[in-house]
Amino acid sequence: MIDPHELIDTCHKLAPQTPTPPPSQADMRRAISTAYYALFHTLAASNAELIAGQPRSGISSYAWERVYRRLDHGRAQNNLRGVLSQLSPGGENFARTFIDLQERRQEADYDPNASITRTRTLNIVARADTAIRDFAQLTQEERRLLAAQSLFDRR
Amino acid sequence: MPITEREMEKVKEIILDAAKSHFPPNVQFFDANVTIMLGADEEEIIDVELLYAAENPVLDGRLMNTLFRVTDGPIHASGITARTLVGYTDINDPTRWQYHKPSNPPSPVS
Repeated sequence: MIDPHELIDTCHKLAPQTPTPPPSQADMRRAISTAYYALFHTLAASNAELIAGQPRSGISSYAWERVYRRLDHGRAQNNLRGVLSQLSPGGENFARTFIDLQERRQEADYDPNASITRTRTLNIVARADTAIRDFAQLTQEERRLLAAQSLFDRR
Repeated sequence: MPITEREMEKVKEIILDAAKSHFPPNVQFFDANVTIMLGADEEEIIDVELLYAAENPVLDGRLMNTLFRVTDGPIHASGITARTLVGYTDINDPTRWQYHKPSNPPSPVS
């Protein structure tokens, strides 16, 4: 299991709230990337649980993993944009944060000129933490909508 | 259509105004740096970096996540279709000045 809360803890280790010593650029970039992945794995685990159910045997574990691994970054981002207005405030916060932090993760991982600062990093981690807490409060119905939307394209 | 300077200025104005009214008075917003970034599909995105001062360097995650509720309407009403991303940096953050530190290529092995 990949625990999103452990990933958020890792973000705090990479970019602590204490001002000194300042985190390195590499640490801040890894913290931003990890914050996005905390959201990604929150959604992937929920999707797998809702579609394949809790893994209780070899067969159900296989099904669970297949669904878990089906979540695609680009598809999820594009498709979630299409349902923002249908979501509750908490669902919208999660989806919007997922969309925004995916861009921040791309920037942190690939853009050598990105303006990465300590407070910007801390605030991105705080946004991710809040979004994961919001996700935990969503109804199963809304999580099903997020699963269907994030995993499947409209034909 | 490429994003224009006028659109960038308008987005800056809307988001800065909204941040000033959306956050409690102990968080003061001074200015915003607006740039264009390329998204994963190489589409242009307006990237707004809000500069603030506050007792706690970490802002309220819920307020940060919901600023868009106040800004989406006015941005769309202005005819701006480009996506907008908002970042938040403390104006006193010393790491602000490390942005463009040139990266040194590895030294040749002798």
